[in-house]
Amino acid sequence: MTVTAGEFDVDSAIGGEERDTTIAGRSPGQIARSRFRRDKVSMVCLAILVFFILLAIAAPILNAVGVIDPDSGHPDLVQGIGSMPTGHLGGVSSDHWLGVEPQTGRDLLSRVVVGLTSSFIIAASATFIAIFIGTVVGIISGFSGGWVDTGLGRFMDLVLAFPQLLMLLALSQPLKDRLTAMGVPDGNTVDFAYVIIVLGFFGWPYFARIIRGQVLSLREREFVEAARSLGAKGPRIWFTELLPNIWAPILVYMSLILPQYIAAEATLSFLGVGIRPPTPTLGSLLTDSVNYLLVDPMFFWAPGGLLVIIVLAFNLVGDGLRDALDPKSDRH
Amino acid sequence: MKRTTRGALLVALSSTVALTAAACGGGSDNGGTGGGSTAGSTGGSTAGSTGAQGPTSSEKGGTLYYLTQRNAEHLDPQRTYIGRDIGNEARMVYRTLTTFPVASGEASTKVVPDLATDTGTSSNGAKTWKFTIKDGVKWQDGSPITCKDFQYGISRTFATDVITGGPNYAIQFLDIPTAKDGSSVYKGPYAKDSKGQALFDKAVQCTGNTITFHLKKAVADFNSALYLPAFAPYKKSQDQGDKSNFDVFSSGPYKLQGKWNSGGTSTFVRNPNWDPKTDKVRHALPDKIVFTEGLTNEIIAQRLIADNGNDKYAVSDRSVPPSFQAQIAGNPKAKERATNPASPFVDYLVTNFGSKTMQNPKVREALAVSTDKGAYITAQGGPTMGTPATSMINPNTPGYKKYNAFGAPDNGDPAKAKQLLKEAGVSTPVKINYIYSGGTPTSDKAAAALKEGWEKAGFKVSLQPETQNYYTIIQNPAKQSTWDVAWGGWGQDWPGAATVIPPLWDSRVNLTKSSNAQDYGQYKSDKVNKAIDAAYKLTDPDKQNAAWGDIDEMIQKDGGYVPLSVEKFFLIHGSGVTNWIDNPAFADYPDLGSLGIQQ
Repeated sequence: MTVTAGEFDVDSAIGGEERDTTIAGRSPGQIARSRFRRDKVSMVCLAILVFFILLAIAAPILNAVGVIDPDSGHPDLVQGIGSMPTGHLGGVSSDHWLGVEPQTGRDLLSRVVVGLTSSFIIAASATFIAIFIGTVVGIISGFSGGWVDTGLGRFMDLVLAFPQLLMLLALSQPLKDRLTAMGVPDGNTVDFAYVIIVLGFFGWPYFARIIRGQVLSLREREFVEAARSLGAKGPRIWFTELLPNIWAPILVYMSLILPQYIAAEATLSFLGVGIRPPTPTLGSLLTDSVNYLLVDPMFFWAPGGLLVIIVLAFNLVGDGLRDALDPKSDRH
Repeated sequence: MKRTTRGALLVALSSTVALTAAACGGGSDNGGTGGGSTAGSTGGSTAGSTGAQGPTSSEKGGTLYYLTQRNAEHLDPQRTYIGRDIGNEARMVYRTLTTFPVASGEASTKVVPDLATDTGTSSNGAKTWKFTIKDGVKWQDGSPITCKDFQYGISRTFATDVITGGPNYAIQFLDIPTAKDGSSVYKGPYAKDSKGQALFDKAVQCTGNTITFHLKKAVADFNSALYLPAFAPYKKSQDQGDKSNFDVFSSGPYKLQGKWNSGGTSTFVRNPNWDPKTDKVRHALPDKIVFTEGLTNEIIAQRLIADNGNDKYAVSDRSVPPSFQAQIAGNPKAKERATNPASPFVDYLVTNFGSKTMQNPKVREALAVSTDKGAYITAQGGPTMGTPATSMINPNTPGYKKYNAFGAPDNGDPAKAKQLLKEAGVSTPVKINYIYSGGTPTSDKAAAALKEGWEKAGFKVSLQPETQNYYTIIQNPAKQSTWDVAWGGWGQDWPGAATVIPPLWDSRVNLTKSSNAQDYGQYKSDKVNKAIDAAYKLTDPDKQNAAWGDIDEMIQKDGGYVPLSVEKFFLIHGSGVTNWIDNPAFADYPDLGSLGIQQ
C-alpha cells in the first residue's frame, strides 16, 4: 500500500507534536474521514444532499402546517389558450417562488418538494432491498465457494440476463394485479410497491458480485482463519467477521445506486408504469411537464433541474467516498 | 327504448382515453353557430372557420392520412356507436338511406337523401315512413343494393347477443311487440325464429324498391336517425356474425385494402363500383385514405404541428393537448391550420341515488352549488376546451333551454353550499367518493379542481380515477355503493333533445338488474318518466323541444345531475389538406366526404 504525499503535506501543516500523535493513532476510518473532508467538491455536494434529504423528511410536516401547499389550485393564475401561467417564468411571484403549474395553478415549489419525498422513499427503499440481498448473497457466495458459489453465480447471471426495461413494461399490470391480490391496497400504494420491488430486485446482482469479489480476498485472511480455528460457523463468520470489513464498498455502492434509482423512478413514471400523476414524484412531475418545454420551460426545469442536481450530487459524493475509502483508486 | 349495455360500454371506452369527450352518435349543431362564432369566442386566437378553411380545391388524387389514438372497436355498421367511427364509416364505406351533407354550420344539419331518392315520406302521424331506393346503387362486388339488404342489416340490431355495441334505435322505434322484461320478442336473424322474423318483416316491409317502416310511436325525425350506420344495408352472404366485426363490405366510395389492422395502419382505396352519379353527397377526392391507430395525443399534435413529410396530408380527430395549444397560439404557421369548433358533447356529473349520502336532496344541491365549473374548464385547457354548461341539452341542440338551476355562479358558491349542508342536517365534512375516467394528466387535474371546490363547501372528497372500463363500473348496479359522484359525457345522436334526455334518465329504458345503462346514478322519477311520454306525444317539433328543455330543468333541479362544460374541440390538420370544414352533423370531426389533397 502506498501512502500518498498529500497526507504528509497536511499533517506537516498541522504542526510537529500533533503530527506524531495523528500518525500513530489514526484508524482507517479516521483516515478516510479526513481525506473526505479535504475533498471540497464532495463536501459541498454532501451539504446539498443533507439539505434536500432534510427537506424531503420535513415536507409532510411542512404540508400539514401549511408552509407548502401542493394541492390548492389557483385558476386565476392560469389563463388563455391551454391555461398557461400568467406572468414571467411560469408565473414566478413572491407567493410562488418557482411559479405555478399550468392548467391548475398549483404551487410548483410545493409540488416539487412533496415529489422529492416520494422519490426519496422509493429510491431509499429500493436501495435498501438491493443492498440487503446483494450483501447477503455476495458474502455467502464468496465465502462458501463450490457449488453454492456456482449456483448463486448462475442465478445472478439469469437475473442480469433479463431485458429489464422490456420486462418492466410488459409485466407492470400483471405484477400490480398480483400485488393487489396479495393485499397491497390498490392505487398509489401498489404503484410504489411495484417500483420499489422491481428496482430492488433487478439491482442486487451487480452488487452481490462486487461483494463476492471482496469476500474472496478476505476469506483467506488471518482473522478469518483465527475465527474458524476457534470454531466459528458460517453465519457468525459472514456477519461478524466479514461484514464489518466490507462496509466501504457497501457505502460507495449505495451512494451510486441511490441516484440511479431516483432517475429510474422518473423513467418508469415517464413510461407510464411508475407512479401515476396525481401523486407528485420527480418522475410524474417530469412526465407531465415534458410537453411544456417550449411554452412553459419553468414547469419542466424545476423538477428536471432538481433531479439533475440531486443525481449529480450523489454521484460526486459517491466518487469522493470511494477516493477516501479506497486509497488504491486515488486518481491523484 | 332500452340501450344495450355494450352500447354504452363503447361510449365509455371512447371517453376513457379521450381527454374529455365521451361519445355517442355523431351529433349535430342546429343552433346556427357554425365554426365562425365559436372560433370568435376564443378571442380570435384560432382561425375563423366559416365554411371551408384554408385552401379549397376539387382536385382528385393523393393520399390522406388519418392519425388517431383510440382503436376502432367495430367496423360492423350495426355495431358502430362512436361519433368518430360513425362519421368515417358514413363518408367512406357505408351509405345509408339518408345522411347529412358536406357543409358547415346550420346547413350541415339538414338531412339529405343518400341511397334513397328523397328524405322519405311520413304518414299516420309520423308512425309510418316510406323510402324509395335509388337505381344503380351497388355493393363493392358490383351486385345491386336491394331493399332486402336493408331489411337484413336493420334486423341484425335485434341480435343483441351477437351484434353488441351499436345504438338500438331500431328496437326502440320499430313496431314489434316487447316481451315482459322489456326486450323485443324478435331476437334477430341468427335466431331462426320464423314467428319473430314475420313480425320484423311486417315492421320493415319491402315492395320492390320501396322500403316502409312501421313505428311504435310517432318519431318526427325518424329520417334523421336513418343516417346512423346501424340503419345501413348489410349483404346477408357477407355476414359471419361476430367474426365480421372488422370486415368492411363497402357501398361507398372507398373499400378496405386487405384486412383491417387494429391498432396499426390500414388503408382504404377507391371502390370502382361506387357510381358518383348516384351520390350527390361525398366528394371523395383522395385516392387513398390511410388510418394509423394507437398514437398518443401528444405525438399526433407534435407531428401535425411539425407538418413534415406525409404528415402534411394528415388529419386527426384528437383534440390538441393544452401544452401544444399554447405552442400553436405562438406559431402563425400552425395557427392557420388549427380550428376550435364547438362539439355536441356536454360533460356532467352524475349524482348517485344508490348512495345514502346523495339521497339527501340538500346534499345534492350543495354539491351542485359548490361545483367550480370555471376551474374544471381551466384544468381542461381553458376557453379553447369548453364553456360552462348550465343544462344537459347542448346550447346548439334544438330543445336547449337557458336557466340556472340553483342560481349559483359558474365558479360555485361555497358559502351558500355550506349553508345548504347545514340545512341538510348532516355532519360535516360530508365524505364523498368521486369516480371518474382518469389516466391522463388533464383528467386528473380536472378532478383535483372539482375536489377543491367541493372541499371549500364542507365535503371531504376522495378521488377514484379509473383508467379501464370506466363505464362498465358505473353501469354495474353491484358497484353502486362504491361511489357517490361520477363523471359523464354525452352528445346527441342527431339534432334533437330526444337523443339526450330519455337515453340518460328514462329509468324504464335504462335500469335493469344487470345494468344501469346510461342512467348511471339510478335516477328514477315517475314524474320525469310521465313527462317524457307526454313530450313524445307532441307532434309539433317546437313544442316537443320546449318540453325536453323543461324536463332537463326538472331533472337538474331535482339534483339528478350537475352540468360541467359544453365541450369544444381543438383540431389541427396538415398544410396539404384542402377543403377543411367543421361539420357539426358529424360532431366536428374531420369530414372525409369533403377533404382533399393538394399535390
